[in-house]
Amino acid sequence: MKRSLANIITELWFPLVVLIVLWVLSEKSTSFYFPPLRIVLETFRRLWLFSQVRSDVLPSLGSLGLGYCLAAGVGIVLGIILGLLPRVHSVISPIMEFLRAIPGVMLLPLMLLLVGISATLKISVIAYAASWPILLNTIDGVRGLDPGLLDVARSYRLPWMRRLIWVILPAAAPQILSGMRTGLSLGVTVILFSELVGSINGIGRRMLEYQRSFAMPETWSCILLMGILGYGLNGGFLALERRVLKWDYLRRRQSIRA
Amino acid sequence: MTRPVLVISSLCKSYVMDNAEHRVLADISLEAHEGEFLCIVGPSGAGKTTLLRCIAGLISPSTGTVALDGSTVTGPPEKLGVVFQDYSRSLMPWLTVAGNVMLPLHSKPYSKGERSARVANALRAVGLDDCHTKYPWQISGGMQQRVAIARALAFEPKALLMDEPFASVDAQTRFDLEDLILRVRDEFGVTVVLVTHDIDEAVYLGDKVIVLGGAPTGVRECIAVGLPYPRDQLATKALPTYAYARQRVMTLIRGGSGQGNAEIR
Repeated sequence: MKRSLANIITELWFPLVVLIVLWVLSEKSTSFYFPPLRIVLETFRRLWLFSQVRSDVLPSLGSLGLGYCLAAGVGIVLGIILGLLPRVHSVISPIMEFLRAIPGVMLLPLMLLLVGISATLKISVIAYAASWPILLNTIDGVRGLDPGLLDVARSYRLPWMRRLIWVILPAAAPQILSGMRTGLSLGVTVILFSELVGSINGIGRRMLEYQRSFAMPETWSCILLMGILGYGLNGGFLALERRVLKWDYLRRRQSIRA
Repeated sequence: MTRPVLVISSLCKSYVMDNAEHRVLADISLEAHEGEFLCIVGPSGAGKTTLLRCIAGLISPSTGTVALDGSTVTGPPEKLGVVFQDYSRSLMPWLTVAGNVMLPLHSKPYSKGERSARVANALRAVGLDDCHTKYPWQISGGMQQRVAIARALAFEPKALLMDEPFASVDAQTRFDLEDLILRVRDEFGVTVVLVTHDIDEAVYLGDKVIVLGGAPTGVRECIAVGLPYPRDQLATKALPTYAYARQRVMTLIRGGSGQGNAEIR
């Protein structure tokens, strides 16, 4: 408990100093585009704590969550299959390389016509964009499995399911998780972008409205909100990773010490 | 003599490489009886590991058969425990020592309590009572190989198949592990087939030493070592019988290359 408090202090003292400096420097600001930090924070409190949470933050996070889970599911399942079947992988890999080269947000105009302004639009584009790093990393992770470990699994007659859960998945887990982390930050980008293009609510949509009506403190508060949400998501992901890959963390720490 | 546990009859293995057929193993026949310690020794590159993989059912022979406990091997057999050469690549780094030993037991119809008891018993037999919750990378190489041995023992095999199991540990640890494997052979009553390139190890451990050689590799000779039990690193190795068997094996292996060539051909 004491240590985690110390950790928080070590992590936060410098950002706090920066915040205070910014506060002081911006206090006298008369610029229209750069309002004083005090006003931005005041606006932030008014908008996001918590009056628009239900109407905008939750829809954004909900679409992100759903799209991201779809991406993870498809990416991991397909990645394991393709990782285990190198021949199939080599047949479809040119198509995959082609599709991967298309940025997810480029599908927005097309999808807008196909499904219209809806949560489906956001979810499908997030799922598409975020699934690539997860899929490719999973394939790599599965293919990189030590053949020695597979020999063990085979000679001890591990049933198919157990082989998958106790040998293949843990071996690929470090790479799968790093793909999932890339996918998550891609997902955050895509959710905002798709809300700018085609949505009736969400943080991105709100920001577009504020920007169009030249409401600068409100616009800044949206940016601040995204920063905080992104920081929180990444922190949460790291905590999850540390739990799932406890063995990997401990082992690496040991090899550094040795 | 007791009945044979492992029977290999006229096994051949060839690979196709660059449209040419390479024969690696030619007409290998051998038997290991119940409780027997069989060492297969041969120069490196002689296809020892290929032979071992055929016995383990990981690859199938081109012609000939392997039979374990009366039934022909077509895939990894149920009653065989395998200990691989490279312990660092045969234990799952994400499982604890106990978890690694437990893993294969899920493919057997044991109850949960039975599984734990087997794990505990196997780890006790290899002297790792206090390592259950450690991870493989937290213990030394010799201890990791003991975990691999415990895993094989807990599987309740009829035969234990080992591929140069002590090749990557230091000399002192190697002696300890050699004595350990003799001890567990007695305790668990398993047949042991150990593949090695080390002549001293083969003679010290084996009831019989099978010398491989030639190209393609065949059985040069099967030598009954005839050393008394219990074996002891100092006393046994000082016996004239030991020196004789060692010399015989070495002559046979040398015969495959260098000056001995003329004599064989």
